Amino acid sequence: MTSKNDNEETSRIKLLEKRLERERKARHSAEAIAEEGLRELYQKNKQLELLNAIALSITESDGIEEIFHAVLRQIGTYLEFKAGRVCPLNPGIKSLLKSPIWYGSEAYSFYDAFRQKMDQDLALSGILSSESEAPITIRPTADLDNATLRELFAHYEIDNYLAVPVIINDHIALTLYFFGSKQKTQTSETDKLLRQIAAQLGVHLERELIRAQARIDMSRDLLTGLANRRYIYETIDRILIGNQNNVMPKTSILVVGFDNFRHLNDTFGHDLGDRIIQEASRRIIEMIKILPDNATATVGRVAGDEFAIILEDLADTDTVEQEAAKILQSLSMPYQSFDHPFPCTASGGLVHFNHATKTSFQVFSDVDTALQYAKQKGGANLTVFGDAMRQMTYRRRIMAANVNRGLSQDEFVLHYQPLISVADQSLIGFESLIRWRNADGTLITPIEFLPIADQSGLTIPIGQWVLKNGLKAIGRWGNVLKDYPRFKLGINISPSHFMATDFGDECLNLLNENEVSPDKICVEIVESTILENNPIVLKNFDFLRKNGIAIAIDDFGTGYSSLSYLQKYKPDTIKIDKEFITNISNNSESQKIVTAIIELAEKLDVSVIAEGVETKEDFLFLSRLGCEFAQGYYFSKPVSEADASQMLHGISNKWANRNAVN
Amino acid sequence: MKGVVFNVVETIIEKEFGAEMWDQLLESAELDGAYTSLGNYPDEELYALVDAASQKLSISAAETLKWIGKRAMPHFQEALPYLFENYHHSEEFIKDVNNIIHPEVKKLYPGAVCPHFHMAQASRETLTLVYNSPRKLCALAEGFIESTAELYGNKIEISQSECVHHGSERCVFVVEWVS
Repeated sequence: MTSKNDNEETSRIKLLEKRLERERKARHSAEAIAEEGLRELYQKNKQLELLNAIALSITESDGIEEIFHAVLRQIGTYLEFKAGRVCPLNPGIKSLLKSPIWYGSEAYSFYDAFRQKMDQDLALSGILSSESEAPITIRPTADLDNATLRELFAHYEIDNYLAVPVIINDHIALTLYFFGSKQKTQTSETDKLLRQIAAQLGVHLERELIRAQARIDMSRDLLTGLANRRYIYETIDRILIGNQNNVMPKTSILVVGFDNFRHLNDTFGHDLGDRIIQEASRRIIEMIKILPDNATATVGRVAGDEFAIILEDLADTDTVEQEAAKILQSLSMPYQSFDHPFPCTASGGLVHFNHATKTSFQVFSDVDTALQYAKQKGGANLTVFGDAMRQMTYRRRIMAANVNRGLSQDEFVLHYQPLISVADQSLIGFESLIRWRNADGTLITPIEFLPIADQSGLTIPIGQWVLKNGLKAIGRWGNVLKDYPRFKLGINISPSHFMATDFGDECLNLLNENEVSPDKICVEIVESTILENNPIVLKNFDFLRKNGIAIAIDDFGTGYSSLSYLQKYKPDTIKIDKEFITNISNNSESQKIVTAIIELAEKLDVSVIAEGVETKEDFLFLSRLGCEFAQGYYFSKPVSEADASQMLHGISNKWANRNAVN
Repeated sequence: MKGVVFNVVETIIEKEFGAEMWDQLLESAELDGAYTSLGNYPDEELYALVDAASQKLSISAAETLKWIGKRAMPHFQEALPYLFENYHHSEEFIKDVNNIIHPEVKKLYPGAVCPHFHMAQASRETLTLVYNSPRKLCALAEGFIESTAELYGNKIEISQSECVHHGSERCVFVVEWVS
């Protein structure tokens, strides 16, 4: 071999080595790029997993506390922190959290002690105030301004922390804090990632807050800001459900109501009524503030003028009753409004929970019963629901069931009391009166069963029965009524029946069915029916009048007589209550009142029937006053349909006789 | 500049002049030349290689770039075949360069900076392309266009009405497809 060849070989080898070196370098750099790419991919994957897990927690967790636990755990694990805590600033979120929310890696023995210390000593949310603009980065705890905090962190070997603010409506609603001790490497992506999570959390929390507010609104009474009936029911249910282990909690419910509130509202207007309700709610709140230690109370407005107070954990039933009495007392103090004290007494019904207490419905039924008893005793009274009352309620229920059966099995009958023209004592009609002929044949008067029927929602079925059977009787009397051109059958209709939207149609249909002319009946309603000022009442009133059905105001003078309604409603007839008529000849007060009523009625062109005429003296007196019509025992007690028919035929009665003679 | 461009240049030089020529160009440009298609390298390294080649070939830098461009497309096709397979005519390919080809390139090579060509259909067969890039590699672009036409077996006539190297603010090519 020549040296030239050697040289060529050598330089060729060098060249090849150089190319080899170049290729090796290219390969290494390609591998490095690929590895970096894989690492990035891995990181991205982890980030996606985190975002995914958080999105899942937010949508699937049950309640906001669970969401916070999940989010703390997920971020904490991802960034390898030892502990984390949610520090709420927004009062709405604070109220949704029952206790501090922590994340802690149990592997760290310091965790419990650290978290107790943090919860006790420090308002953590105050560590950093303007985090929103700053990048979200892990910072050394040594840089904190607050020396106490610095020392605390140093003690627990926490070298760094991370604060992630969650913004709602441009304000930091809460901050997620994380604490760690290892040196951490943070990629530039972390800030973006955490912001994304915080934004997602913020949107969800905002929605939760709106939802929570809606829940509060739904359970609140607008006038007083107290809980409403629904909330009180739910609270009772919660107490009862929470008590399934049969250890009876010391719970009682007091329902208080004013004794004369409707009168107040009717007389002075709802504005005053509302003010008194508001004042009453304040008084109740004041009273429950001074309940003995450990006792709690939930107050709600459960009806127009009724408040319910759930009392928990008072020492014993005596104490509860004392406290209840105090509340009633405070409610019964005069109300100062429009510079004028309004006297308003309140009554209360009280139920102590016991082992038999099962449902909120039962609780309210019992307490309503107790309140009704209190009011029936004359008001300003506190009645505790007891076994005797339960018995009575039970008997009432039986009675209600019987009424129902009575209706379906035709145990009711109508009796008829004659209506007399005072001028010539002629018969001009009857008032129909319902009687219940019990299985044993005894007759029960409405006073005994109507109040129960009313409480059991049977008033309307009874009214319908009366209406139907009254019209049938008129049909049966038939031709003889031609001799009585002014004949009317009075039919009593209860307020709730008269308030039914289809009452007018019901009357017309029944008149048609029985082929009775509308001018043969007179619907008798009590004053309170029209005092309700109910638009349906006014509508029905007009409808009946337009269709030729007369309307009489029954028991006139006993209610909250407001004469203005006579002008507004223009009834055909008023029936002066027997309270003023019976013994009128000897009672100057009654004489004055009745004289005034008759004069007024004349002026308004309303005819007058005097009820309860029992003696000749009273009759003569009314006659002198110019009273047009009368009814009462002086003429006849209510009689059976057969007897009424005989009267109409002039067989058995002096008025009928006289009428026949005329 | 993406490593894939250096790889294509290396392949062209080796194919035309042999591996030694690439060694010599790297040596005279004082570059170590370890280019991987995934990497990112300074633009200056490409310019230095072009200068070295232009001296070796005794032609201008622009002509060198154009010479490289004219031979480039088959090698790009070899490296990235799927970018080419949906097209049957160079005009379709060129018209899609902004919307499909370059976005695809960016998917493969994150961080790649690709020029945007403003295009206008001057007539049915004539397309105006505006090249406006701080790299000022219009000659390379012209070569790429010619190479693309050749790849799809089309005949074109290309003229440059404006050029940044001759006082214009941009470079404008008028490409007419003869077939």
